[in-house]
Amino acid sequence: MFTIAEASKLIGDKQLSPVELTQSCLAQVKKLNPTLNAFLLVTEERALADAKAAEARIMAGKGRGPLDGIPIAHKDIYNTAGIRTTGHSKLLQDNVPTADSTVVHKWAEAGTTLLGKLATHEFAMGGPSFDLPWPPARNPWNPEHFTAGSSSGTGAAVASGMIMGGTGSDTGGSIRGPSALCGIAGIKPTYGLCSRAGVLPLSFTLDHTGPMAWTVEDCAILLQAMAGHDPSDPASADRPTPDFTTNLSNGVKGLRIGVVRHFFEQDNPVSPATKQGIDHALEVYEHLGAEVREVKLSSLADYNAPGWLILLSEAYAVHEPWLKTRFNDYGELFRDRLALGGLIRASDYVQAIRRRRMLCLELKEAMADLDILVTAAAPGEAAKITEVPKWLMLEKPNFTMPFNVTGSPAMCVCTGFGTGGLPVSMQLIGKPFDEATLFRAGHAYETAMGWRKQRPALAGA
Amino acid sequence: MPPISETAFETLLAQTGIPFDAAQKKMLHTAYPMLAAMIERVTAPMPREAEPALIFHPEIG
Repeated sequence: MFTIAEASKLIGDKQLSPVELTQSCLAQVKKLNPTLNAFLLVTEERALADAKAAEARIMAGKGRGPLDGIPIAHKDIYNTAGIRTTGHSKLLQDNVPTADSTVVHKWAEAGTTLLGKLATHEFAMGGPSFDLPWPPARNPWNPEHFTAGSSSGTGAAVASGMIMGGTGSDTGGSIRGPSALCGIAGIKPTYGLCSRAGVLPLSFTLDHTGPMAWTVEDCAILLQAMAGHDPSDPASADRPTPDFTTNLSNGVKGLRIGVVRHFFEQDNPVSPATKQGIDHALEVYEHLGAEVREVKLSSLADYNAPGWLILLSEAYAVHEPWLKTRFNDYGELFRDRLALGGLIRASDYVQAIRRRRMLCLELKEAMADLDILVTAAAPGEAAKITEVPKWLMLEKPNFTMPFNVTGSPAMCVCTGFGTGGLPVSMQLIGKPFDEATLFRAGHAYETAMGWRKQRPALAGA
Repeated sequence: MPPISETAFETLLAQTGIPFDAAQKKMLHTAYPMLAAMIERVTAPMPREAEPALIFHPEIG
């Protein structure tokens, strides 16, 4: 199996046919999707048409760049013109948008081939649910286990080689959770960097769009084609898009790294393999010339509380009309979790957004003389898919929500394998709009280690 | 924060206008203390001048 960077070079050199590459991914979908449920809809005809068009362009010397002819798919909350977009919910099971979301349009313009629409937790929050029109995605490293969510189909499809990259969305960790548990790379960019126009909303001030792929380098290539100002997204930042790939291989010599150790040692202790992976990664960074030191922030619970109160309040506002009229058409998990949003008072929501600003200021100060932070991405290896508690998000603070609260760029990188051969991961956090440094640090670690050579056994690599 | 009484919780639920059945009400009542703990955490005293994170842009792009 190729990475996007490898395939792109071969396609550019006319040594790899986009049509053959797409056919090989479609074959992988046919073989694995009945087990993994990563796709809700496979758009085979569209994929082959896209691939033939890419091949014709490239043969004519009119290639569109590194994503021309690359097989991708979109989380099923991204609107796709003429192609069903359901939010993995009964409420939208016949919804066919008339226009592409901005990101779907941008990736199409970059020459990608669209293989279909991917499983999500219902409306990007509800899973893993077994009472929806489609089953939940399963983890390619062991289908008895959870992918995390909500970008569950993207995590499963990328890890198993059905696609080379895909879209996710992240409101409290929905890109980074599945990236961590499926052993891939995924980045939640800075709030405002990527458009959310045409993407089903969950929580307006916490929602982010972003890419997921097998490697950090592939995420950088995908983000390059995804980022940029969009006047149709009211939160879109009007600033030039940085170059994410030119300095990717510049290493980490001199990089100043802060470790938020209390998050994963005291606030929510992680599994032994997760901790070992982070500690070893820090040793690798020091060996490569980075400076590593510890940094203290408010507790994980202090960051999670405003995050979840804002998320539940805003999501409740989005869904209130349907909650009142079609409550039992939602899956149980989404419906019950979201109902709590109706119990939050207006003044509590305001206090949460005041608290949020204080936490943003705290993080800014803590990172004043640092380039990136490192902490855990997930508490450990994936649980069994039938053993995920309904109130998980309230019971224990997660590691990803803090950086939705602050809007900081945050990325997951696989750090090896733990119990049952399931992946473990770390999270790298950057300063606003400094994704390039995150990519440089993630790429340096991946290059120094060999984890990207190992795919799930069922992928047949 | 003291535990919420069933009556007070019934009032909160009624304000939503959602037709919960008895089992759903009971289940939400069980989960509510975890939400209340989060509310307590964000409503701890802050400087009076602490502004929300929202910024209003008068010029629509």
